[in-house]
Amino acid sequence: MMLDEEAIADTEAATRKTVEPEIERVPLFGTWPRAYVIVLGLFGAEVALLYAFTRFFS
Amino acid sequence: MNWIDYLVLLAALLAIPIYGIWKTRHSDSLGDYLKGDSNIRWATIGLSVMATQAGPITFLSMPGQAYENGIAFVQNYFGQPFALLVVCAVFIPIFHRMKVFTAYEYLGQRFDTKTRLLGAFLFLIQRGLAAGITIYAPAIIISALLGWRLSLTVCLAGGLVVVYTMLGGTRIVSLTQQYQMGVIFSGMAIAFAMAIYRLPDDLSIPQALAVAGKMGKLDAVDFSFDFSKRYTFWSGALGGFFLALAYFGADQSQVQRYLAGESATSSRFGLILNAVMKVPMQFAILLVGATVFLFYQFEKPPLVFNQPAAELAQERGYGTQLDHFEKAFEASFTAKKAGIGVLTRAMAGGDQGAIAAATAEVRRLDAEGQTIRADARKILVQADPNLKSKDSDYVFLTFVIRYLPHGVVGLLIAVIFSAALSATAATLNALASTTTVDFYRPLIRPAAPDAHYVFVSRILTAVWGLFAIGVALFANIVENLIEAGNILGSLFYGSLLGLFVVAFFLRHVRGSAVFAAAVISQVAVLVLFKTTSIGYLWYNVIGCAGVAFLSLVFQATIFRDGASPTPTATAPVTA
Repeated sequence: MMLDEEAIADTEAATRKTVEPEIERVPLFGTWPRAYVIVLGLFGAEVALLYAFTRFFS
Repeated sequence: MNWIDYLVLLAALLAIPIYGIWKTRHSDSLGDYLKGDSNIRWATIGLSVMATQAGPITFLSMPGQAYENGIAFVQNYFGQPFALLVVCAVFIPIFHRMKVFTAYEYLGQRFDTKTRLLGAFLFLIQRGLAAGITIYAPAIIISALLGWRLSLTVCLAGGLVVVYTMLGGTRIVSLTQQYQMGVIFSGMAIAFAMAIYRLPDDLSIPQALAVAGKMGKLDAVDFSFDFSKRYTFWSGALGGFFLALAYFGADQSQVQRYLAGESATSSRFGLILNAVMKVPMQFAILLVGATVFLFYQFEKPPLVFNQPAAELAQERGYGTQLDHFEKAFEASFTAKKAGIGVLTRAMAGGDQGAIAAATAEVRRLDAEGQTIRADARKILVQADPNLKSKDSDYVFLTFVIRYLPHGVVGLLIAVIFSAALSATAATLNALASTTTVDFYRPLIRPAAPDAHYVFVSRILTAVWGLFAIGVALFANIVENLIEAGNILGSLFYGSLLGLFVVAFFLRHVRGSAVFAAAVISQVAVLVLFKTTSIGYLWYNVIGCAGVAFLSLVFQATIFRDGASPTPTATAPVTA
């Protein structure tokens, strides 16, 4: 069961890291929350364009 | 097809795997074989994820879907960007930090071995069957239209993908997928341009699109809360969210693609590329189908696109009935073509009353033509009760074979096969990885050298490949190719996703409670599938919610003794 013990140790280490806020410089976006907001904004723009396309040709 | 088409087809299909085999000839460590040594760039990750999801059904069935029902199907992908962001924020940081080879390895560390094996088993059963559909789907259509033997087509396509995936592992899958996506994008762009080019000279592109719009084929977004409608913004965003979350978060064929990233940042960028590009990509593919629809408003389409089935019906004595429908369809088409002429002149004149009247008449004639085609298809089923594929699946390739020049035909056939190869390669790679890492290594031989596990992974790739080919050759495949994969996935994804949702968000729940909850939820979903007609996307929600709810109940009652928070519980990261 050596593998299980190693796995538990790894998981504990991962737990310690994941509960701490991650401070990371993200290329292009700055931070991950900002990246996610931008992606959602782009998705919103795509839906708006598709809706405009629908209305224009219907 | 002539020799130019065969040359293009063979070059496109063989050159990419041969190049991949040469580039990955030194993949001999387990990390390299299963995770590409975690040094694959974000753009490759993004294309690899896209190729794994697309598959041949996307390029075969979706243009036909647009031809028959318009482009509203694009809304089914509206949940995907949200799901991908959840995977980026919650799943990827944990998987990367724990350096897991498979998603189910995490379940073993968070819960226990039996829960890990259950997750891996649910994945294997679902993906193993789906791999068969991925090989079968292009083979049944292409072999019928080109007169090839179905079994030979299945064996050649399946054999090719087994050989190169076995040799190169994850690295060759990612490498070949990016070039195969290049073939796919260029082929679809050429098909779109050719369909536009073949429209009547006196019709501009905006006028042509306006005609398709008036006929209801360009309604992409519908915000109404009408539950009787098959595709709306809300059903796509909500139902599609759970399906996509399960697929990208808990399906090893996708997890393995983004775990090959050189860092968590690369993996996230790869998924973000998909979050941004998926909807435009599906829209473009559907638009190709809408353009083919437009083309067939001016050029008479066949009564049925599945010509081999029509010929069989003729041979079996249904020729008189088909001739009757053919005459009625031709008369309807001629009237509709004249009606479209009236509509375009009315639109040019700007008279709203005339436009409305002409639109109503064209729609009536279009519906009449569709009814005649539907009746003709019933004859085909009477002639061959085993007829399994939908006529709309033959629309796109019929257009390609009949109207596109030599060379382009070969390229478009290569597009379909490239999509099949790239999706199947990722699936076989994930099936072999999961069997090796989650079953063979912990249960059979725990401490062998890397070279041994690489050898076992290669053997298992071949075994799963043969299983998929067997499913493609012998299974009684379902009628609707476009939805077969999603239905199969939805039956198992809900419970699988539930395991991960509980792992991430219900920190006090432990292994036995979640295991029992997942088994019961899975059985319940299968019973519901057999006994009710609930829309398949709902099985994702039911399975996931069932696991979460029952695990809470079991943890608070039957398994209360072990209710303290696990030391290994991993909280989600939202950074």
